[in-house]
Amino acid sequence: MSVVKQKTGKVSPKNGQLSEKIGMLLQKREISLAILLVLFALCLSIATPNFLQVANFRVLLQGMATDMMIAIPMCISLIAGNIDFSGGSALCLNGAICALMLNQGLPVPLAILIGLTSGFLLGGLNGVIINKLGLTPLVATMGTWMAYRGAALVMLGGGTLSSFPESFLVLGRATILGIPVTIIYMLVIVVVGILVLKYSNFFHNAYYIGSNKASAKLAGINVERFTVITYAITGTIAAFAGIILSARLGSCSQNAGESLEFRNVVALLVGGVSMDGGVGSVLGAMLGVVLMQMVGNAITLLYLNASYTKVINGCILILAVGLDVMLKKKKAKA
Amino acid sequence: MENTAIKLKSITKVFPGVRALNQVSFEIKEGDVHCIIGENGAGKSTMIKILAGVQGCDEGQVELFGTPVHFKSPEDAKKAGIGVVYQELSNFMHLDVASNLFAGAVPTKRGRIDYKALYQSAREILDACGLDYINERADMNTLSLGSQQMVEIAALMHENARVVILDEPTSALTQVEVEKLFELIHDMKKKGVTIIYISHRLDEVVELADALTVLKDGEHVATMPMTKEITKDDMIRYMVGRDVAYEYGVGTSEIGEVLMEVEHLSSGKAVSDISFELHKGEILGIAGLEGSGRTELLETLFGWRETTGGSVKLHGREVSIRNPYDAKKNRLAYITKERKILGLFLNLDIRQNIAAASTERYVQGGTVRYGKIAENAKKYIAAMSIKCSGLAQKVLNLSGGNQQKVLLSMWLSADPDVVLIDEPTRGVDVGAKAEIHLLLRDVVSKGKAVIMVSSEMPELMASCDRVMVMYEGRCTGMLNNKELREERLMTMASGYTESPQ
Ligand SMILES: Nc1ncnc2c1ncn2[C@@H]1O[C@H](COP(=O)(O)OP(=O)(O)OP(=O)(O)O)[C@@H](O)[C@H]1O
Ligand SMILES: [Mg+2]
Repeated sequence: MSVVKQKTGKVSPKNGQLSEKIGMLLQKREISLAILLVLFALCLSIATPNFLQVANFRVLLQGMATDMMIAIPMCISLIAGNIDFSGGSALCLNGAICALMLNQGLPVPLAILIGLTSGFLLGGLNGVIINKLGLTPLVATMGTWMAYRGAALVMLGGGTLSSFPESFLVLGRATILGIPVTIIYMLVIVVVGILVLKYSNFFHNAYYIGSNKASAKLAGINVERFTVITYAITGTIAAFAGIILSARLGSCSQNAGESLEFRNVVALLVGGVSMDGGVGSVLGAMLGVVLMQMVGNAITLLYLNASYTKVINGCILILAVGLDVMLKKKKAKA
Repeated sequence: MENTAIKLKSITKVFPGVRALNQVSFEIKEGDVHCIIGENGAGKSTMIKILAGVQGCDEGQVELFGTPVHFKSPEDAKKAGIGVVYQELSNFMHLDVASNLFAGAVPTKRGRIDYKALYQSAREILDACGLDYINERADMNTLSLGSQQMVEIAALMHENARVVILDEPTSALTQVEVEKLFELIHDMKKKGVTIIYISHRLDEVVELADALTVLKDGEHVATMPMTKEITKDDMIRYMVGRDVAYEYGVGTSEIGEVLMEVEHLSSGKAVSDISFELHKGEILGIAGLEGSGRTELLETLFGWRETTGGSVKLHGREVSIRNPYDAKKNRLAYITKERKILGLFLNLDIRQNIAAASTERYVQGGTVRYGKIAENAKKYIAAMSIKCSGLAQKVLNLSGGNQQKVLLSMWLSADPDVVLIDEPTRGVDVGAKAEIHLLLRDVVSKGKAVIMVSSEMPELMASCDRVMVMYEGRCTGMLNNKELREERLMTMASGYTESPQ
């Protein structure tokens, strides 16, 4: 390919053929995913009248809010090559910490602040372990994934916590202009995620770090600081999601956020984030999460056995990533 | 301008098992092109890494423009005005050219990344460097190796570095690109930039150097101003400590029967309609410019690239090679030029690397004989004079040239019938170059054959029996050793087919 470029002189991206342009667009995961989602929605709306209902959309969006909020910082981390498996456990543990504080009679803002702070610290701990002990992100966060979940179990003593004050519950149940707040939180995090990854130098460095860690260091990018801060942000948002979940449900259960991390990693990969780092976008990650949730929604609406969700999601993962690899291979060897 | 830009005072750096630098002291004058030469493993790159803040030194002191400096990170060195292009490509494959040019220094406006400025300035830098054929939005991994290297060099231009360090910048460049680089160096010199230049190509040193430093086994041998009196032979004597037969005429071996017949072989547009015969005992060279399909031809023969037409016969039998595994079964070996990406196992030790392509050879009675693995590795370490602290050294920690030698050893251990080899002596010092050529000659004299791609004309002329010239995927000529002239090779490589007389 390089050959052609050298011979034909300056290649401008503008003078491509239309069909070529469309081909290029289809190779963008965001576009192909969006098309897939629209087709899927179309099929669903034909298959069942219940799909195109406001109530269903509300359920769908509210259901994905928790996953989505955590998926955004996870996406930025993963672009830098730092996978994070601890999100679901962090959600549960920090939600539990906040709930315990509330049950101790602490004022609501203080309890939330403590929950968020512990989320920040426990998230950042992942980064510190990776930097200081030299563990790979996979191993480090697998460790904290298990440890945090265990700590939450200890704290909750096998039961659930409830009877929170009304001023707390409202944080998860209020609506603004008829839209549930959880959906608004989610949208804010998505938009902020898109913006910072694109326009903030600090977060944009994710691409450099993910593409080549050693070169990033040579280019004067502070890789270690980036690692700690992004893990801390994931932890904080996971804590936030956990707190909001308690508020919405009115209780904090030891199963909160169970297997969220796997769902999200799958969603990110489907959304075009590369496991090796350097590639991906928040938009793609978002679409990935939406697709995962829509599969679940479809199964409920069509009265299928819920266990099929996993089968289908697994197949989507393999197909999406497999297709991508095949397209790339074809491109490279053409 | 007689100020001192950099002063090194008894720099010492010790790695487990090796003293990479030992009490090295010398000065570099401001505005000079200061060349550093030395054998593989002499400590050149280590010295650069210390100057660039990548590694600390164990003893000694660096002064930059008269003030002592202690760089803790590459960031510090960058801020102090030191720009470096490292020996190993260190770019961001997944990202576009503009992002690569501005790695770690993306332009921002009011705290936001300014994409317009990013692409605009990238274009300006590329144009200013004469790289108008590189698209600033192209992904780095779609560029040729040489272009990638040029992008890394261009990245230094906007940093306004006062000291620019180039560690073997030309090893991946084409002739045209080398000339561009030299222009850039002259431009920088006019602006008063101090340049440190490392290369194994002594012609370049003769052309560029204002001053010269020679390192040997971590020791400082000499620093001197470059004069007309200093010849390449002198430099070699300083580097190696003895005379080397520089014009390595390695002689020929007995040419036997036909080993491989290639007929009308094609692979898409990159390789079209190539036919040749390869005999036992023969080294066939392939010349051509970067992008002429040389590398692609080897890839096709090895099954790494799809064959779209033609046939290959080995020992008179037609074979179908669809992937590297088939190729290996047919006793082919392929040594790539991108040693870091394809070929070496950087995190494994020398012993394991050398054994990697011939693991079945060390099995006896169903168990692996580690003694044999070590024995074989020792043989090659001696034959190629690989400089290492021992069999257990990680290949990652070897100097660039020594990594190349390990890669060669790995494939020669597999005892292949046909060795396909791309740029066999890239980054290898003069002494070892001759040794590698001798070794290849030794291999073919046992009834094997070698196909060698090289950009270095002297190398082709000295070591090949025949040379095939390629242009745009086609063969434009086949020359016998006796007919080889540099000018003839060049005209054919630019696409002129000679009619057979
Ligand atoms: N990180 C490391 N760990 C152990 N040994 C090392 C390390 N880095 C370099 N060395 C050793 O230090 C010596 C000097 O290496 P260096 O890379 O400076 O050589 P060089 O002069 O640049 O050679 P070349 O021409 O092959 O690039 C070598 O023997 C090498 O094996
Ligand atoms: Mg070196």
